[in-house]
Amino acid sequence: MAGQLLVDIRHRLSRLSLRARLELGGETLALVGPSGAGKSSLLKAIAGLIRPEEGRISFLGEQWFDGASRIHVPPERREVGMVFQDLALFPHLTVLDNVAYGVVARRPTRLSGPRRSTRAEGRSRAADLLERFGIGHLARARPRSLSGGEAQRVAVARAVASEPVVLLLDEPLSALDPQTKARVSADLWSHLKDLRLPTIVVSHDFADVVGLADRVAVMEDGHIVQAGNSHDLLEGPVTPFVAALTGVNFFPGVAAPRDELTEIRSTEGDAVFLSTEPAVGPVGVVVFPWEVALSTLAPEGSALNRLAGPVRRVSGVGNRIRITVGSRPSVVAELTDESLHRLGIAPGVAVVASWKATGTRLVPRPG
Amino acid sequence: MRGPAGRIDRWVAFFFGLAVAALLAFILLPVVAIFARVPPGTLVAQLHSRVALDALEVSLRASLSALAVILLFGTPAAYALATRPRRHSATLTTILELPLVLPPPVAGLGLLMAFGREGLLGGPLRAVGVTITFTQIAVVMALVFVSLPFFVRQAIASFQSVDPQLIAASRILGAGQARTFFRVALPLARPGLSAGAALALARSLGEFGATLMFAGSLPGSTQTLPVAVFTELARDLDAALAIAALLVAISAGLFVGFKLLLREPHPSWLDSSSSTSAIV
Repeated sequence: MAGQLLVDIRHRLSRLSLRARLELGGETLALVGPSGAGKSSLLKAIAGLIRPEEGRISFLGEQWFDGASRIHVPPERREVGMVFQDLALFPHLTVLDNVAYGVVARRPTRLSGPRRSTRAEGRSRAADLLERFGIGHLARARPRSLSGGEAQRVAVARAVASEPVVLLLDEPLSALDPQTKARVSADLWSHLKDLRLPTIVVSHDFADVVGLADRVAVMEDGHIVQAGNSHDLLEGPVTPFVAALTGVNFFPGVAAPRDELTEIRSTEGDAVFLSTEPAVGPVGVVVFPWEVALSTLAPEGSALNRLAGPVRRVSGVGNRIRITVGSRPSVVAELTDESLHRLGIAPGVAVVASWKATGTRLVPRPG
Repeated sequence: MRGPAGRIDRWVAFFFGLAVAALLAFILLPVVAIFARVPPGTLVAQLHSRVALDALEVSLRASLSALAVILLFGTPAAYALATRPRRHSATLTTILELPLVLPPPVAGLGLLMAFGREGLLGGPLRAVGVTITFTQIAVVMALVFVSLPFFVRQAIASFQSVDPQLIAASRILGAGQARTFFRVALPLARPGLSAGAALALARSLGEFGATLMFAGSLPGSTQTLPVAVFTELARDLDAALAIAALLVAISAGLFVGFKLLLREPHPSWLDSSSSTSAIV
């Protein structure tokens, strides 16, 4: 089922230029990136709200956009479902009529059969869907009287009511407060799993979507810099942002062979790292925080990589504590609560972070 | 402690109060004066005069026709202008607003020079056998010309205050531009549109200069209430006052209605996050 939705577009926005390629099969793709990276614009282009300058968007061979042959199918004929960041429920309609809106509005398509649904059919389908989402009792309520979690479910129900072929969710959790977020996200994800629709979820927070997504695409400055499953991203981030997003240390550097090892000069500070992996030229150095040891004295043994500096930050809960060392470049180590206390580590204490050459993973870095 | 500063504050407060009182008196006195000279019974009796009844009928018919034209053309035009990028629509909006600053007699003269016998379109109109000047159609045209901006300005602001995401949501849900306009934009802009319509209607009922220039003052045909006030003044002051009193009552009623429509920029069914108060 790979490659149902194919996107390859170029579009200049006021702050950045969007150049994105994307393939979506019958899966859930998380599109993650900092705000202003172009994630929402990419969704809008897929939905037909933005007409890109160049490129192609197609679904199962049907052209939605083709810059060369000037094809631009308007949003109402694309059969896309979308949940907006602030939900965009119609304030003048009841919950039931919000959900029925798309069922009645949608023109006849291959999927819906030969004619438009009547208002009564739309309402009955909407009522069924509200029941399925556990909010049947809200049918006659107005959007403004709903809680954040309820409004969220109504928005998802409205988006899927007219049986879209692709579902787009723009920051579906950002409008919720932290307490309701956890509950609502579990709920939302279970509904999405039941729906089995090709889905793109946009978020600036990796943690919000990593549990849901089959695949993650990371977007920076209008480009998709990396895509893969979350494990791939954790082990081989190609940019510092991807590394920060997935919680690993990432140092850009330039590699050259030295003896039987590889020596990497960091592009920040004068640090030099050693790795057992062969590489030449620009690379990314990936070090997992749990492979970094901390000591208050110069470490002994086989740890060839060292970075010294004061402890900047101690964070984390439970038994996994992350310590940020203010070295150049800065490095994050993960310790257990016990070793933290045994070493007497606290903000401001001078420490040396070290790890073995086998712990220095090298990943290709775009020049 | 009350020093000199305290005394100055009291004087300033006094002058602020005085300014309000002076302006209120200045506005209210002429309105009161209309009702003061003639006892209410006589005013009501005067309204049964042929001139007053004819003028009332002409005014109501012409104003409501003008309102219908304004709503029919002004609403889609305002929507089109509100949904275009502002830099494109600014000039067009300014042109539609021009009658606001144009003296009504000048507007009337302009209409005459465009649609009159000797006007720009006079020849073609004569060729198809249409005379506009000094007819009820001329009254309606004068009223539309002068009151259109009162509706269009309000309507553009109301459409602009509709959250563009709601429009986008409607389109993605499968509604074309027409359905989106009727099912989403129009209902959400309605309070502002109603207020604009009330304002345009009030302006129409009070229109004098352009009507007189372009449509004349034919009793029972083109003589509206304001024009009747003017012509009756030369004949019978009491009759003029009676018609004036009628106009005060109608206009004040419309104006209070307008205020009530706008009193609550977020009617209860409007979500506070998606509507804005641009209709103030």
